[in-house]
Amino acid sequence: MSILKTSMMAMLVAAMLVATLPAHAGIVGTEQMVSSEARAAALTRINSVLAGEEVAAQLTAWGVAPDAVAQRVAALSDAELQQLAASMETDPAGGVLAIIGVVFVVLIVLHLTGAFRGFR
Amino acid sequence: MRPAHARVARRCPLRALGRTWVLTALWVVVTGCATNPVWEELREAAPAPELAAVPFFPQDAYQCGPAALATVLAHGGIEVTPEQLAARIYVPTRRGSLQAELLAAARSYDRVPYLLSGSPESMVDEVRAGRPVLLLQNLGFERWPVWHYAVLVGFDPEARTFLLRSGTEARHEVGARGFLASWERGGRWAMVVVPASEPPAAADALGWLQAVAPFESTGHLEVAAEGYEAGVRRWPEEALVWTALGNVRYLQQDFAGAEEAYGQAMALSSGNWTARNNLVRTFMAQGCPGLAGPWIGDAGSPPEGFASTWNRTLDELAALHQGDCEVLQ
Repeated sequence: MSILKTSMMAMLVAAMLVATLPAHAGIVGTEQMVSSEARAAALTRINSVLAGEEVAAQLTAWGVAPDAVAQRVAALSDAELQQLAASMETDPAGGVLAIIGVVFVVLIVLHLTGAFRGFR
Repeated sequence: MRPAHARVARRCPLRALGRTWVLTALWVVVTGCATNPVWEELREAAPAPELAAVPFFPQDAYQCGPAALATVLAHGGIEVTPEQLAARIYVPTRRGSLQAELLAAARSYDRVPYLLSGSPESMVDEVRAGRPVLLLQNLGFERWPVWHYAVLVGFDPEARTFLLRSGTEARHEVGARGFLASWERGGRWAMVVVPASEPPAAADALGWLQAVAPFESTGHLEVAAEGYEAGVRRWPEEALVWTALGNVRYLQQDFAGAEEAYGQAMALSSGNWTARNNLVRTFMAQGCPGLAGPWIGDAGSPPEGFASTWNRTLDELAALHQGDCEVLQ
């Protein structure tokens, strides 16, 4: 998908996000109150919207169906959005069949011992 | 003089020893079992008999996230299939599912995903209490991770085995040390899903609030209210929980209810600046800025991180005129 298309998608999602955010109307929300992060004070709605754009763009680039992206991003909490925006590229994505994992480990061991060179 | 073959024979054990050493080192690397402190934490634990009623959804390739989540949701009475969940949590290019999206998807079925404390005992406790535990394993290495979600349904300390619903195996029995090492490499991540009215027995107030608060910030206020109501029943002495209840009532425009909850929070802990700020906001929202007086006079000065929020509230308060304050009328 082209960068232009991806970024347009992200803007669309962001617009939808803003529309669906509940109005906090001045009070400090519970999520902000209980955030254990040192940057709790920075956990604002604005930051969440920006983080939502980033997460939406990345999910779209990773092949998630565009019509599902908005729904998925809207389901994430402020803290989750910011955490994903910060590290989703390296976050665990659990998926393998256990047996594939075992095969993979065996291949790595063989690779390390020099018996298998498939990973070059 | 000794025959040559005797010298060879004498050298052979050494070479064999070297080979054994390499194999042992490899084994230690693979299983992570040299000394496993995680297992030590569980040495004295009581068994957790298999939760036989937990359903099983064999996973398709790379779909262990949807399969594991469907397992714990279905056990809680939700009718859902891995295929339906895949549309919400599967990420094609990553060939897997992200932890945050698992949590979000559980919430979309009005279930609270509660993250366990990170001790192996906490997982076994939940299984003993009848709740299957969704957990993350790294079946590879720190450097070459192979991420996998599975569901814990039993623990046998005698045999030192854990029982999982995992991949294509309905009853996957794994050795305790290897399993715990894989869980440790996965960041000791584990969760249960519960209805909002039932915080797990082992839950603490802060953990419960962190689990329920996303319902509030994503606009599912009824579920958030249910979770906080259950919270104040369980932890009536915790000011933070009362504050959270006040927050959701405020957002539901139940200002009288919010005032009561914030009042409880302030009675328990007058240093609770979120409750104080939000209580003042509650009077403002009702057009009664005059009622905020007592909460400002003796306030003292807020902690550094809260100063800008508090000052903004004071500024807006000062700009308000006593409106149609129904409370006063």
